[in-house]
Amino acid sequence: MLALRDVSLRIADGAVFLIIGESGSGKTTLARILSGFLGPEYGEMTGRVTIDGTDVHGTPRQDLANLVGLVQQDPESQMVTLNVDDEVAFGLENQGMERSEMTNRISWALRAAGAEDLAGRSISTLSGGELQKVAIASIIALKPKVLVLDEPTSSLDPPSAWKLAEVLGELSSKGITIVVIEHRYSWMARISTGMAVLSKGQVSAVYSPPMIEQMSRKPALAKPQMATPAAKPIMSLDRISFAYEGRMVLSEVSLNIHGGEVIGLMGDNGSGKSTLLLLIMGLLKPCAGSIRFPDGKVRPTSLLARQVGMVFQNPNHQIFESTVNEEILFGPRNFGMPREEAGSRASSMLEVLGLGDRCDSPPHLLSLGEKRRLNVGSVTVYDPNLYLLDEPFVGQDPGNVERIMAIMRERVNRGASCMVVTHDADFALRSCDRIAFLKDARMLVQGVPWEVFSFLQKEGEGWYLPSGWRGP
Amino acid sequence: MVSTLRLARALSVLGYVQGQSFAHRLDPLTKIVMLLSLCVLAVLARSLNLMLAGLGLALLLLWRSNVGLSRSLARLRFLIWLVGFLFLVQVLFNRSGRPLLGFDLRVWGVGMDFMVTSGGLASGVRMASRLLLILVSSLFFVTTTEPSRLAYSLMSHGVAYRYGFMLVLALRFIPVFQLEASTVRKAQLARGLRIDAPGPRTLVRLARYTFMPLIVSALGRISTISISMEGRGFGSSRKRTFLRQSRFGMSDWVVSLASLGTLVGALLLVR
Repeated sequence: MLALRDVSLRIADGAVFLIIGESGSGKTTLARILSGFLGPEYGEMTGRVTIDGTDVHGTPRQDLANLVGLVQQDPESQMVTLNVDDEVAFGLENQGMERSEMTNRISWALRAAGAEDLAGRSISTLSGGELQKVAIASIIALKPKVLVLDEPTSSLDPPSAWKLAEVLGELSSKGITIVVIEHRYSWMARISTGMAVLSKGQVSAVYSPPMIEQMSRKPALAKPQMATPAAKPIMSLDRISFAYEGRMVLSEVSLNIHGGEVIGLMGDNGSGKSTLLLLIMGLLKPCAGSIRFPDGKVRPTSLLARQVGMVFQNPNHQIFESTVNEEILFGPRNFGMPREEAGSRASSMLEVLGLGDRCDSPPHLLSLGEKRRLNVGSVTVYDPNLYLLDEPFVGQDPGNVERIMAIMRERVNRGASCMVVTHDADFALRSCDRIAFLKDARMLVQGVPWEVFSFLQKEGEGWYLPSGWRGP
Repeated sequence: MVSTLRLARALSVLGYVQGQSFAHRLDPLTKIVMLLSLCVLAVLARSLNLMLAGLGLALLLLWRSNVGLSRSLARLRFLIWLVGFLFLVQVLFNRSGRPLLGFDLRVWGVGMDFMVTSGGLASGVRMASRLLLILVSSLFFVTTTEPSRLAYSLMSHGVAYRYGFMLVLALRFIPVFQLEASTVRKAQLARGLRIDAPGPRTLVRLARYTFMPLIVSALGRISTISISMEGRGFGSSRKRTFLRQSRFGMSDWVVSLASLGTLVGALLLVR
């Protein structure tokens, strides 16, 4: 299969260059080829990559550390050690650098990555944004000429994404060339010096800074009409609190979930969004408050599972079977659905998901976007009343987002509810009937999107406003 | 938030408790010598008094390291219960020595006569002290030794860095996999997988549905971590320097020699 075809790009020294494209367009392959991790030894490859005159694939990978570095999509998985200083020192130690020089270089790298306050911290205590900064510091400590970042903001909240853009702008001013692979690029628009669009493995367009700015600027938003949800809630959260190891993760959060509505759950990383979903699902027990159904009863997880469908963050953690068809049938079988009914629901669901021709494929061989759709389908197939989706759109192109939301919207129109954890304000404004915004473990605000964004603007939470937002 | 907290907790499950006590400051290698000395004593000592003295010393070391004696012992709750069970088995079923107490234990006509003997009691105490000595000295080691410092200490004392980093990576990823296993279990519950009828078939299903996602996730992580390591020149040179300097100081020499000396002396004189 041809992953890339006739890709030619010329990126200037010290540039901040964006590469965007839909899922499966070859962005990660290109990032790995640029950084020397994929080459002729892994498949058929023609053409060459040169950095400052050096042929990347004609040089042993270990000798490329000072030329090009790659920051991968999941910063947590690329940490080798248990401590920030050890992590930044790792590459320098491999090069046999003397300790005194190493100490200076670590301080420089942490400062350049905006992470000097993280020195000495344990890796396990860092947030997603902090991990991303340490990953960058550990690469730039080797002073590479080019830094390639593969979807660096996919799991970051907007404040962390904007701060990361500042750090990358600073690094480029120090002479490091930055190449960023992304789906969302609005946060990078003001510092980028060029952008290429990949489509089906080919460069379909290249844009200069004025065009990028223009493309990232959205027209002023008009106040949208909102659907009126059912008056009676299908589930009520009453002043629930949750503490873990003595730390308050959620404090006195109240929320009514109505039939026929999509609720966007927003807030900083670590504000308690995923915990709230786990509490609703009954997988965690609140230390105070209650989660009740209209009959006033609290239900155990074994009963809740039939009525509440949850899609977790990592698609791989929730794929259990050996074929796509078996995976879709996993839930219905556990709930004792008659075989014929389950079979017919599974085949029509696979068609809706666009996975009809992948029935017998091992699910782990699907692309990320396909896996995500499979996760959603595996829950939707048994028709729960409430859908809990934890960051379902990470690493998804707009087409996949629309596809998943079309499935959800169809369920919601039939009276179900859907709660989606998201950092994407544009999506929240466009697709959610209501937004609940958590901050520091508390419910800061909840309401229809237009009002919530107006409130956030007043509260100085400008990071979270949709593009094109001009105020109430 | 919970993920980060759980990860931090999972790391602490490995045992290390931050502190600045004398034991914390000792080189990990010194504590390996101490641990081995106490374990050898537990295995070779025949004298009950010697074993109890060893256990007392291990408890004293644990107490003086300010790691929270009762909280640390609470972590061994299951193992301490197991030791208690083994002690009871010895006391109730070992009939060597002088009879001390006899009783008939029957419920609805089913049961048997029990006889507690001096030999059974001594054997139970000896076995329990031996196991407790090994457990408490291991607990002393893990609560006072920062895992990564242990790895770096081994590397600076001659263990090839490729092997040393196998330990660092294990320490890094064991808690991550613990956390992932917990998430997978939650995902199973959320999709209605029930385990309220435990049996061999259920266990096989549960293992399959747990290991499959974990293995897939592990393979993904291996790919990411190998790119991360290779990209920063791991293994490119035979000589490697270290940011952390492990210093085997005078106190380490004194404690190591004292541990070995005490072990040899105790075994020769009191065994």
